[in-house]
Amino acid sequence: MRRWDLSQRLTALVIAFIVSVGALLMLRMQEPDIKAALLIVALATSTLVCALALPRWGLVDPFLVTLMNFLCSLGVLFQYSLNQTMGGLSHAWFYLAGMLALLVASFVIRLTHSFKRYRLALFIGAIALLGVTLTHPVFRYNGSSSWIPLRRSSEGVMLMSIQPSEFVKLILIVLLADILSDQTIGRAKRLLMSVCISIAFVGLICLQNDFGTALLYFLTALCLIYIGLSDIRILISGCAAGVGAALVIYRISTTVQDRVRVLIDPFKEAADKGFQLVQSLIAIANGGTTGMGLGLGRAGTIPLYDTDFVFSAICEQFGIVFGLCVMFIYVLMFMRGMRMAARATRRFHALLAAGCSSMLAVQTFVIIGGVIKMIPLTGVTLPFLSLGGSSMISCMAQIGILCGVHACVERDFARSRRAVEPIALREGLSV
Amino acid sequence: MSRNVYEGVANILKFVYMALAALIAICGAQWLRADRSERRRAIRETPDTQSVGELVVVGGASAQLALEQSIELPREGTIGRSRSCDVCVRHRDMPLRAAQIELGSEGVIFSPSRWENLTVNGRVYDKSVAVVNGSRLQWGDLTLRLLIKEGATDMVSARGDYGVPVALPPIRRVRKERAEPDAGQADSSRNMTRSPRKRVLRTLDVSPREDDSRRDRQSHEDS
Repeated sequence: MRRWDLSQRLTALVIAFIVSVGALLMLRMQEPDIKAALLIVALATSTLVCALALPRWGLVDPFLVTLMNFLCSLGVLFQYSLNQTMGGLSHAWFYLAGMLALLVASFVIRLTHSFKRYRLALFIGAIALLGVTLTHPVFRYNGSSSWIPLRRSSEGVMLMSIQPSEFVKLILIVLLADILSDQTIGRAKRLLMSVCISIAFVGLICLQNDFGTALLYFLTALCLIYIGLSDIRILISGCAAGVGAALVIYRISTTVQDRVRVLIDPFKEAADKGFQLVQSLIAIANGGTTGMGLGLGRAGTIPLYDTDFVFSAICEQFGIVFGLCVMFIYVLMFMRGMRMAARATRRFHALLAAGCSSMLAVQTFVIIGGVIKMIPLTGVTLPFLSLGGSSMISCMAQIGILCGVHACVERDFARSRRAVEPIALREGLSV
Repeated sequence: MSRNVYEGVANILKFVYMALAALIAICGAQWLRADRSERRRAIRETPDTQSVGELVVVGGASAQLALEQSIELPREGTIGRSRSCDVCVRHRDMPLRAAQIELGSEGVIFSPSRWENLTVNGRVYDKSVAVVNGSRLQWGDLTLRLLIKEGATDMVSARGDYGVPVALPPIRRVRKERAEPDAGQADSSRNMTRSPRKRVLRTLDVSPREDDSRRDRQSHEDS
């Protein structure tokens, strides 16, 4: 079958990429790099298993996980080239944890068609997770209260932490999808509940001073509410409210004012507030269309080159054409998710798929747009590529949700094809 | 490896990485397109896959609802007179939002809206009820008969069979005299001009539904 050939082709290309990049990393060292070899084997095996074995059991969508594995492998190998221990190996462990989260999420979605019983618990849990970082100054780091530190160095630098807002993303999508798909509740009540939940989450994240994540939450919630209730007035009033809130935040927050000023002319403050953006633009320009070569760029000159500006570092070493291909792959994943939403037979599944796709797409747009000076810079991560355990696990869990929806959709479609046309009265039934 | 040699190899391989990324992107786009074409073909072969049954008007016909007119029933949704309902029944006796419907393992579950009742086979219900195939639903003068597709409820009862590969089931061969739809003809003629390697080698396996159902109805009427 043609589709199976395409699947094999795509898997082979991804494995070829992993092997070629890994081989170059191994050659970079004076002595044989066993860790790089193990990484290559692990990533290639994982890609093969996800593409060939797991779809047979109906657990994953081979298209989505193959593309996800390409991005994750690129992220792991690139982080390894930048920093072997703190970057590459930790990213590899996060990838493994993310795979477990993907399988669990896929399984849960196949089992549960409604979270009505758990709504209150999920909401209270999310509020607690977001609120805990506001309770004590120990959670404050780099001007925001977004992380729960697990390990600090003697100088106070956070070595290991959890970002609760990454996990609350999943709770937001599930809660909104469940409420908006519940036809036993009236339309006005569904709108009110969804708006109140969104305002509560966005408000708490704004109090953490993490406006990038707040923007993600707001745009995803707006998409979901619009798709769920199908009313253009909701979209218009939501956009108006968002613009109003943005203006208020601009007046209150000096950080946001700095970011907007830097967006207009970053070179005016190239040594100060605009340093990050200027270095990012210089790196992308230095790379040109084909890049400088893996390991040959000067990624260290870009601040936060392993988290917020990983896209700039990738464009510097691999080239702008490569960066465009990566962006196109994100677009393909978004299209696949929205197609799943359109094919879903249950509203809950449709909204779940739409929510997860929108979240990934908005996150990608926000960070890449900030890095290339299209929109003000924010502190969100690039899915699968940026260093960060919470982000990796959360994004892979979203892919797991999409895989669960895919499994349900394909199962329903396959069985519905067995049904024949409606029959007339069966014998014995009274008229 | 010396620095110079590494730089040389890296400068060569960067083109390889670029080409691989472009091929992955193109292959992904091709896959999406092929998946869409296959889905459209599958829906064309079995066009009723989106509905699980129908409601047939057997009493209380009006200008907008003719006798024996059938209304498609989705897997889940709402039924009522309002245009925002998934099943819109334009009859004066039908409430704006009559009930919420969902396919269950025993039949279609009707959950009446608040302050509404549901009459099934002469009995009045104010709570959720599973309505089996052939039952009569009544709202005022309007009477509808529920027909559920054979095998539709299996979709629900077989929910727990994890581990079974999710694959399209084999379906019966189509008769040669069955007329192909225009889009299908255009597709097949386009396929014929393609090389054998690119031609989609697939037999359109579709059950001869229309002929069989017509024969069934005729035999039922005769009996």
